[in-house]
Amino acid sequence: MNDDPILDNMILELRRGALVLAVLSQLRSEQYGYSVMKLFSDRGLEIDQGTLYPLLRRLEGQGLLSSTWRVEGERPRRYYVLNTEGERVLNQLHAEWDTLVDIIQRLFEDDETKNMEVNHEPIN
Amino acid sequence: MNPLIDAYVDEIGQHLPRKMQMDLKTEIRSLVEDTLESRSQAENRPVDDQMVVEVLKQFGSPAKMAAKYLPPRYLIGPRLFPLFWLVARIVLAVLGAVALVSLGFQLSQEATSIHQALPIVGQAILDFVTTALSALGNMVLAFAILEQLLPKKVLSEVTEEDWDPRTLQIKPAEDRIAMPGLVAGILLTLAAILVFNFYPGLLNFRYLQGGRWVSSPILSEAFFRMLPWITGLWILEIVKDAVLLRQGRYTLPIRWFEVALKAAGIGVALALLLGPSIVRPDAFSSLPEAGEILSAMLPAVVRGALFLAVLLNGIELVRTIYRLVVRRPEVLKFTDRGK
Repeated sequence: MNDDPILDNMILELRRGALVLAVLSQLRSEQYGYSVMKLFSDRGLEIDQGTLYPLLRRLEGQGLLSSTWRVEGERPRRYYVLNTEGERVLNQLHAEWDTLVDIIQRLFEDDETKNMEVNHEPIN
Repeated sequence: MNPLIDAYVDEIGQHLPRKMQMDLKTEIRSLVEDTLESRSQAENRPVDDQMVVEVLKQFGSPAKMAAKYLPPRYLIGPRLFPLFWLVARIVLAVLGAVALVSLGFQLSQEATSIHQALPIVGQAILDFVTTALSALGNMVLAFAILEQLLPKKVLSEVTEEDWDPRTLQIKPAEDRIAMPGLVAGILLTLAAILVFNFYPGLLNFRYLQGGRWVSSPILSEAFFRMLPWITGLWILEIVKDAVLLRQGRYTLPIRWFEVALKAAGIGVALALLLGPSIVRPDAFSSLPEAGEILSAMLPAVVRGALFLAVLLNGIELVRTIYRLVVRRPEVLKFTDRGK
């Protein structure tokens, strides 16, 4: 986190949007809350428990995930996995993400002159 | 089992609806224990109270954690708040006006000096604050119940697909209305109708004579002969203001109706000005010294005021008609398309 609260808030918003996609992407196979957290952590994505676990519940409530309780050792764990609707939504979100990344990338690559040209073209 | 974890999970449960409690408490406990186990392995030390404290701190306070599992909850949500705010302002304005009229009446009846007036004013302020708070509380309660009972679609914003920019009402500055002013106007006009028609005694001139109050009527028969016409105009004025409140802006028909009302008002004022005096010649005659002077001056003052009213309203009427006929057609044609 930075000292700049406005920047912090923007980063939070940016991550929040991407988080749903990140979570769905890891649930093609069954995972429980902490294992999702570990998967993210191993890939460098640190996420607050208070954000991830309620999100899993919300996605289940939206009909994108199915869940089952299983007892492993002495501990019951709730496993989540994508259902058919979740698969469909994930594929669409993935395509949307690729398009967005491509557009943003091109926007950053545009030099100042190109930006000037774009600004002078009429918007249709 | 760690008592801190038990207490943490129990407290989260207290913030959740009953039907969610068991399931979520089990899941959160499992997640806390998974985190502890992982940390214990990573740091190569057994789970102790210190580690539990650190992990629970990471999860966040029970209230915050529970809140993340719940949808946003409102006492009065965004769809009802604008209506609540409008009703609250109207109710407070009405209560304020009633309190003022009541205070004025009480002062005229009971206060003869500043020392008598102060406690009456203080009590009136206290009564108003109590009544206003009680009314606001009841409104919040009523709207909170509505928020829960109304189906989600009722009073919701129209969907993006249904919204048509052409339905926007373009309001030129002169077409906008001042809602509190209109409400106050309606209440004052209503109060005037009641007082002049049903309690004309309130308009009497009162003074102390020989240690007792004497009441003397000021307005003459000539005024009361015109009163039905004046009352009729006041009623039409209230109707116009009520329509304005409902529409939220001036429209061409309301403007012309207002012109007609103003013209009729000037007619009545002219009749009062040119007819017999509306003030009784003997209104102050029983006053010991200044009575004669006052009795002579008041009719002249009233006639002067009526003359000024006719003159100023006449000028205003001409200006309004000029604006409506010469300047406004273009603007009005455009705004009327949005209706």
